[in-house]
Amino acid sequence: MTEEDSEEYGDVYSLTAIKSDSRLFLFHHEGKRSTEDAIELFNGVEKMRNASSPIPVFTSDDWDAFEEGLINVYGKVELPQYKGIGRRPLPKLVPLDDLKYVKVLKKKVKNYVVETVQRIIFGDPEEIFGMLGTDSDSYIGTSYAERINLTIRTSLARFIRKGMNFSKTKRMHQKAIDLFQAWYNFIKPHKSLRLKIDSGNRKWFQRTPAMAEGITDHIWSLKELLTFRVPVQ
Amino acid sequence: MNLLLSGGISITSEIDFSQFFCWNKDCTDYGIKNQGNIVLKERYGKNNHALLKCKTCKKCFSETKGTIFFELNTPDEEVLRTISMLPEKGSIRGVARATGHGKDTICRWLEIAGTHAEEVTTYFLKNLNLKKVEVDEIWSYIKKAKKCD
Repeated sequence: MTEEDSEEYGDVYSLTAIKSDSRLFLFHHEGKRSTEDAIELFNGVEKMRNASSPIPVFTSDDWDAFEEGLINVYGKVELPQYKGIGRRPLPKLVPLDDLKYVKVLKKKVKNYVVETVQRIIFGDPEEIFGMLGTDSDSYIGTSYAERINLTIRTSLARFIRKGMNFSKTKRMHQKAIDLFQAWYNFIKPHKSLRLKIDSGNRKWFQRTPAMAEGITDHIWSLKELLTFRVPVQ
Repeated sequence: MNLLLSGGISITSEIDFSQFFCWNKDCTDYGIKNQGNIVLKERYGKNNHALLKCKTCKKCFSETKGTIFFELNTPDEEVLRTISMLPEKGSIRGVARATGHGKDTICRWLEIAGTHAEEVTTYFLKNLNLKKVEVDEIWSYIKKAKKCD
């Protein structure tokens, strides 16, 4: 690194958010590993949420910026009670009552995962496990988010490690992920979302994440995506 | 003259007017589909694009307005074939060698397609019933793989 280099050169972390039941790629943000970037990510997710639905259960890996970002977005300022002695306490950020956040810690020995621990940071433990049930839907972890990171790495040439195809400008880096996001949500059929049907020769009904979410009813072609005229709001 | 007329009619019948709306912001039918106000005015350009007219405000617009093919001279199939290689692990130079288009051309198309894809995403992904959301980060770098301080 020299002083003549542009400010955007260097490491870039793309923060991704995924809806785990329909595998919908919700939002991505490019930046460094700071709290401001985490706030941007959670603000983007908050815009997509239906105002009447409850705040979702957030899951992430062990990284403090996510926790601070969550408090900043889903939090309120509260004044602690004065105990009668000493200086008056400063106002403090506390999470909302219905915010639920689980951190997944991985213990590694020589780069192999030995044990995973789910630690509940915000929210009542009994409420979280009661809401999720005891079947396969009750799984808490970051596997789906890590699986989509693998799909990004194997789909975009910019993310290949130790190659020459890396991005040269941040602007094109963002545009490439924007195109990937729509391609993943609308065009590419997801293998784990298919349904078993018995109609003639076809055994499986392929679905995309947008179909599982109920946004569309068929698999889009690339032409359909790129010629879609976005209606005026 | 007869041939021309019949050709014109057959081309006219191919257009599905229900997908178009008027793009003029001062028009009363701005952004509303299926009003019966869109008619074909003429054909223009190398690719025979249709020039459509709004009967309400008497303003014209192209049939490719609002899509990625607006103001592009290359045929649509050629553009689509090139863009479809990019999210399938295609590098810019690799796609340039495979399709015969220039590097700068492909970057321009990628920028247009990315902007359009982002608009489609923000239009569809709203008012969702979120239950569980997982967040994670993925590492990459721009130009140099070292920290920039």
